[in-house]
Amino acid sequence: MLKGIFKSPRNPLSVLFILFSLAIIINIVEFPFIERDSRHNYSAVYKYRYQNVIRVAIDHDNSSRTAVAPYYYLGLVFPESVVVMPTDDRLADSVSIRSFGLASEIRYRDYDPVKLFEKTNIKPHLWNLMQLADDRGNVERVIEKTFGIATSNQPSGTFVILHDRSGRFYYVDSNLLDAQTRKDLGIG
Amino acid sequence: MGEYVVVSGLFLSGWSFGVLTGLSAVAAFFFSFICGLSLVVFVSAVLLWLGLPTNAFFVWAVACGLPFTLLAARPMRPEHLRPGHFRTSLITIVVGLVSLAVLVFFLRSVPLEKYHIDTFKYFRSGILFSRNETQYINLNDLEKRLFSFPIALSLARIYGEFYVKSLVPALSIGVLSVSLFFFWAISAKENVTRAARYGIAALMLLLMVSNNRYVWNSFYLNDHLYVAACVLIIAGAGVLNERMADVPRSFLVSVQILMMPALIMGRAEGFLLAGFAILPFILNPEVAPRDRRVVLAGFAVVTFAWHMYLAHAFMREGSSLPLSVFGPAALAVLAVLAVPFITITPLVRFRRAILILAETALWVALLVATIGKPGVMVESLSATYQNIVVGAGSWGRSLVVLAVIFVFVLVFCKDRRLATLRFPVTASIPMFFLLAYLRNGGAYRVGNGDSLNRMLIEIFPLAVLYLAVAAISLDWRRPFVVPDRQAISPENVSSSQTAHPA
Repeated sequence: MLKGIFKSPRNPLSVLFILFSLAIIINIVEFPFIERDSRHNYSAVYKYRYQNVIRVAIDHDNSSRTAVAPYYYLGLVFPESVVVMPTDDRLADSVSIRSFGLASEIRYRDYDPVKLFEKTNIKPHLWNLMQLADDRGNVERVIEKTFGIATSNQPSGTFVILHDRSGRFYYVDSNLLDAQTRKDLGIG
Repeated sequence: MGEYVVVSGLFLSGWSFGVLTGLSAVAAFFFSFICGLSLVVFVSAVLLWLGLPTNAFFVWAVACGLPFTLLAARPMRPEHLRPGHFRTSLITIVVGLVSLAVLVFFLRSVPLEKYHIDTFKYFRSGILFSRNETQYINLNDLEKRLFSFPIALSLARIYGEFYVKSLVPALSIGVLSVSLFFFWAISAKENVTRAARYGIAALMLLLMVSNNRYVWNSFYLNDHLYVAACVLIIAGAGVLNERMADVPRSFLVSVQILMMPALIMGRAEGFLLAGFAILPFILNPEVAPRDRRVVLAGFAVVTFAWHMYLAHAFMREGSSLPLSVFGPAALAVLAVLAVPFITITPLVRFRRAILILAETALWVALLVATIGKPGVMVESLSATYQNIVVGAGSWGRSLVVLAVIFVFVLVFCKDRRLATLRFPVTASIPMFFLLAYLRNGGAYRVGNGDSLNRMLIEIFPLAVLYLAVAAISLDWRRPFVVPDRQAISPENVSSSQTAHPA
């Protein structure tokens, strides 16, 4: 076969055959070195410990963790919830609540999420979200900084978003709010 | 099981599309997965533009069911009743389904998929698409992530997951198989030995699969490889049509139209890539005028419809329309107006000049932008040098060798028929650098996560195909000559030189 291709050094086919082969050899030689020097998510054949790229990203990346985890865990534990959030909320992202959080509905209300947080005792009702994480060390830090989920013993399926003063937001089961607050927020 | 059913549906739908539009059962196999996926995007695009509800299962069912039903219901021709025909079709389908089963099983067992923070923006849009909540996709995601890849990902919602694990690897195999098909079909009419054809075809595939970034892109959850597939198919189908290859024109034109929504709704620069991929084709007098008009009209309609959809989203949010919306829409209107005139003699006579002018205009625009903000260009060039030549972008030095081969072919190969494969690649280079001025992020940066470094895959398969096709060309400048002219039979010479009637 090669005899048919390499008939003359001035044959462009011969020249290109050699150059193509050279490029392939370079690719093969460099491949392991590129792999060695690449971060896991830029490495071509890096194998993660488990399936589901969302969980992988939450465990490996701060940016993915803060952008995805607060919503993905809501969808994982309480899909199809109704979420009540302040109009123009500055902490929680409504698009992510609808998508990763799989919320069935978002209702916008004018209320102060910090004041409401301070008059509601949610601490005994907070979920231990660490159980959902694979890499507890990193994820724990982010969860402590960004979000929490608090429910009563019989969750209503409606969550109200509250903020603490440190900039963490919480999905709070509407059953944990007093009757007047629920009425003010228009929750049945 | 859910994932296997979904991807098998795509395979059968794409295969049916190929056979319906005139391909043989075996030839349709090469395009099956990409065409099936693009049918899903096509159906979704129509729903979006008409303001109809979107649902992943409905879209999948229509995209898979329609071509298969049409195939089953079409009247039988004598060739369909040949004993071998049914057997070949059956074997092709079984091979496809078994291969997919292996692929899905492997990818669901070995977690190789890669991500970037952008990946999750595609996920968000995909989930909202599947829930008929596209009105909540924010303008930034709509403008930058668009719809093709979210639609593809949304198919996983049918079986309750967030993404189809075998999607990108199947696309990658599709790109390889389509490249092989194009090379084989193009080289069939060239005066080249079978050994050389086998050799170059093998090298072409090896050049792709041995490249670290190609392998990475085969697992990377992003739209780049799909865009690469679209550019490759639109340009490759154009070349086969121009060269009167033994592939039905009905398929070639249909597949070009089919890939338009996937490309134009795939990336913000998709309409430009589509324009580059069709420009040499629509100006080629050797192609039937109707085919050129249809392809140009397809480009214009899809570009206009998508940017009108975007304009509607901007107006709904009370935002003013940016240039990235009304600019392409205006281009689409011009393209519609150009449809009746695209075949007039003065226009096609100056095909080469128009192509040179278009590329020059891009370089001039880049020069003007550079004069305005030299820092962006200097930084981008420096970063690109680091990424490609020094190795920070993980492409490996083979990209430098590839660039050397590219320049070698540009300088010494006189074959003008290569323009349709070459133009989208060379025109994309100034366009990519121009994008640095239009995007919020500013200059490109050093590292394998850089946008330009990731975008290069969009033209990589086409560039490799271009070089492979150039390798079998007979039309070279001195000192390079094609020896052994005696081996070229007179009838072959006449077929390759006269096979382009106006």
